[in-house]
Amino acid sequence: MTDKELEQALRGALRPRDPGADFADSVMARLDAERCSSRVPPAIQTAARRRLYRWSLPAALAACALAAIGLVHWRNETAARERGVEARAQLLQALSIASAQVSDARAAILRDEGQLE
Amino acid sequence: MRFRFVLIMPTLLLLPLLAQAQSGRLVLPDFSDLARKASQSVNISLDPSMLGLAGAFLNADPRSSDSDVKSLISGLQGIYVRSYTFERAGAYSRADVEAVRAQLTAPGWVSLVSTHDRQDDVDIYVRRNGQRTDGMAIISAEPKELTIVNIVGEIDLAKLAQLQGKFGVPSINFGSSGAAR
Repeated sequence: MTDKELEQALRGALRPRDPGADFADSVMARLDAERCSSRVPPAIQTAARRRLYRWSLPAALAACALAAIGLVHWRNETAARERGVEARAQLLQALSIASAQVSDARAAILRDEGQLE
Repeated sequence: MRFRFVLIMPTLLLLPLLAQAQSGRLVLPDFSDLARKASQSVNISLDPSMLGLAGAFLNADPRSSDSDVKSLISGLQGIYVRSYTFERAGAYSRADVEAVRAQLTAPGWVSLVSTHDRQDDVDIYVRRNGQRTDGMAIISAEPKELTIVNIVGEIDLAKLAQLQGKFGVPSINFGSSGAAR
């Protein structure tokens, strides 16, 4: 095959062809058909949705209850810790005052003894 | 029947007070009037549950000063403090203190220290129960300051005095020349 013959064979094979007036319609129809074949049947879809609805409310309630319990627990823990820290501060203050008074009394006794000597 | 009721009811009502008096716990009067007049006031009431709670928040490390406090409070059932500082002298009356002093004449209470001078009076009482000390009361009456401390339970005075200076309270030097007051 000469170069010319090859060129003519290629031109013949690749010559523009009119797709026809219904080409666009046929493409759209084929796309619709493929979309319908991949879709879940309505009965199955409804059952799945129903199942989802059935469990979503209890699940949401359980999540809310867990969150509420966690929040209450956290608040109780925080309040207990604050009470403890406050009690500790009060204890140290009370012992400071008592200790200072005892030391004052001891100092007064020692001072009196010193004066007697 | 009515006569018996009249006799029994006051006795029943007084039982908690009698129980308190026997436990080293004093009934501290309501000093709200003094608190209003005071420039500074301290009102601390630590019952056994609060003491337990406070103890749980003390550092367990034996090297820390908290360990001294922990050992001191181990035998205590309560600490009650009322302390008032006034701008001017004479803001409180002797009667305010007498209600507390009267309770210290009950059996078991012994005056341990009583110092009186022009500036202030400090009285320390302990409640003896056999060989044990199950309560302590401190009444410190200065012209511009009134402090009442009631410690319920077994208290070691030496340990208590040793705490001085450990919580930001300046320590006192017990030298022969007298101590700072």
